[in-house]
Amino acid sequence: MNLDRYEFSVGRNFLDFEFCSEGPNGKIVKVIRFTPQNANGITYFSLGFGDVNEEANRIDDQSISNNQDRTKILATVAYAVLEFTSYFTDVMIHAKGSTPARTRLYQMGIPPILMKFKLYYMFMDLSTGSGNHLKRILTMKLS
Amino acid sequence: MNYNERKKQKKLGNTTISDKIRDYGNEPFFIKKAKESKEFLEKHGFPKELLEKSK
Repeated sequence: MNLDRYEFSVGRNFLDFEFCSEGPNGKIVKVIRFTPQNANGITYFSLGFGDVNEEANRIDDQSISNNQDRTKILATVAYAVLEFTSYFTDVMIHAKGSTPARTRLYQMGIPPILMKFKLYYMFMDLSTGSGNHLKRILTMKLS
Repeated sequence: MNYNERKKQKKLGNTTISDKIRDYGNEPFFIKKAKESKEFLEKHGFPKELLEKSK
C-alpha cells in the first residue's frame, strides 16, 4: 500500500530520520529520533519528533509549521516506524506528543496507517499533560 | 549529485542511508523526551499484553 508521504533519509545508526516538509511556509526540515532507553529493566525506544530550528541550532516541537501537510507528515512518521522496526525487530516504542492535543493527533493519525501493515509492537501514551496518572494507553499488537 | 556524494549514500529498499544525517543523540530535546518517557513508564509500567508478547 502506498500512502502519500515524504521520502526520508536515515543516519547510519538507523536511529535518526530526516525529511523535508514542503508547503506554503516553505521547506522545513523535520527529524524523527528513536532514542534507546531503559525503564524497570526493560529496554525500549522513545520516539521523538520535531522541526530543525537552524537559527537557534536546536530541535523544536512546539512550532506550528502549518504547511498544510499534516496527514502526509503523520504517514511519514508511520513509515519511519515501519522502517525502524524492520531494522530493529521485536522492539517496543513509546510515543507521546508535546501537548495532549498533539498526542491525540498522533493517536488518531498514526495507528490507522500502521494497522495496514504488520507491526508487532507500538503503544502510545495518551496521558494528559499533568502526568499524575495514566488516562489511557493505546496498545497495538498486530500479527 | 557527484560521485562522492553518491558514495556517501546507500539505498536500503526505499530508504536512503546518508552520512549527512547527523546523530541527534546529544540533542537536549531528545534527551529530555527520553528521560520523561522513562519516568512515565517507571511510574505507570508497560502494557502487560506487550510484555507478554515479548516473552
